[in-house]
Amino acid sequence: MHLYKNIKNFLFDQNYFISIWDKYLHIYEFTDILKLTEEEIALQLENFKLLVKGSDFRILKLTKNEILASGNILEMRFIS
Amino acid sequence: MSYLWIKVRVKEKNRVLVKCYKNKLFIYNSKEDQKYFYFKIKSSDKYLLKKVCSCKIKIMDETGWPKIKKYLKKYLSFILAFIVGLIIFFCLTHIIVDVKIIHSNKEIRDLLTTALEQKGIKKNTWKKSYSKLQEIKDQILKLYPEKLEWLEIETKGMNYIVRLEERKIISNPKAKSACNVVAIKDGLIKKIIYNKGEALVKTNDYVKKGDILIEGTLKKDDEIKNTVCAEGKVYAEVWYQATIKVPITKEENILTGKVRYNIKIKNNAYDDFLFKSRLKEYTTDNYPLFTLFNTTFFWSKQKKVTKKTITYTDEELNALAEKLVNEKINQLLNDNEYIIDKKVLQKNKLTNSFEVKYFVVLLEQIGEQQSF
Repeated sequence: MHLYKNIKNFLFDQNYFISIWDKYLHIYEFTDILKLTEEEIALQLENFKLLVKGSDFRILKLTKNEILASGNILEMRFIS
Repeated sequence: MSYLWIKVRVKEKNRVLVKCYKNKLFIYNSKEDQKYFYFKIKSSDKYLLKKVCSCKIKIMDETGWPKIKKYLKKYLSFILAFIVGLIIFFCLTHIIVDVKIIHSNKEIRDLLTTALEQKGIKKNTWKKSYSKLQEIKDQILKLYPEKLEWLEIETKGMNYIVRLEERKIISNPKAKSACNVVAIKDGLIKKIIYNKGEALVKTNDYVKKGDILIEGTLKKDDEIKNTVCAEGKVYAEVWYQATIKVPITKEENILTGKVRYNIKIKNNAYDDFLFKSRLKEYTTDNYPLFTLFNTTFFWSKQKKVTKKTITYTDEELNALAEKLVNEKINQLLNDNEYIIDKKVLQKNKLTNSFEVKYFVVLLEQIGEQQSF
């Protein structure tokens, strides 16, 4: 009985999941927080690092592998 | 699952959040004002948070079972009172304190009381459902078909009102075959009305108790031709002596103007004031407020009075005695009977009372049927 896992695998066929809305950012399956300020959020994902720049960042939800933040997103890029 | 809302200063929020994440302490919701940052964690992570954070944190609120527990503890007395109130209310609305059987015949009342008790309808028992009452009603009617015509059990507040109709088996009374109308008192005949038999007396005849007034034997030439049951009314002047005693003085309540208010409770078992009255002597005016479970609550206005003894004058005493004697005689009189004359024989003024002896002349029906 791996119903939940099977559904999850079916729906999320990637190792990570990044969603951006007007003022919200949702990242699924990150492994670590590298930096967290009101202007920058830097996250470690499985194969890369992600940097999100903006202003008034506020964490709405933060669990083991999922983060939901609100704020003005200005820039997002991979970093080494 | 229970959660805690934690408050930290805005300046420290990111540091706290990162530290929480590193220690596997997760945030499930957050909000922020100008000064503070609030976040939601699991209640079980409370001790871990205290270890992780060196900054000042404050628990703002709890959700889930701990919050319910906290409320229960806080409002324990109120909740207990509410539950007890509910239980009392339930009892008051579901207990029967009296069973009233409305019927003039004591024998029927006793019979029905026993039958109802056997079926569980008695004082201080739980109320029965409508269908159960109907069932009991039918059973009792079947049990006493010769005595009960109709039966109804009505629930009124905390009482059962049982109404019934007795079954009357009409048997034709045997008509009297032969009877006379006989005088039951001494008197002077004034009027004779008869439709069967033969009158042996006439107006202004003086008769004694036991004399035959209307005879049931019909004769012709001293030979008995027929016997009937004589019927008729014989009115005669009858004389009596009556003695009336009236008190010389009477007590009268004089209002002082002082008024106190109280609440009066009245039901089948209790009829008294809720609070002890501070007035020694008073008259009461009761105004009904409301009725609850067959108990009526009144708003009582208690007016303080002082007692004053008033002595009657001779005229008042005579008038009072006259009134009393008239009342007493009129109670004894039937239709077409009246007082012909009344005279004072003697008057005695005693220490506390006034005694008057009357001679009274009445017109009374003195005939009564007697079989022979």
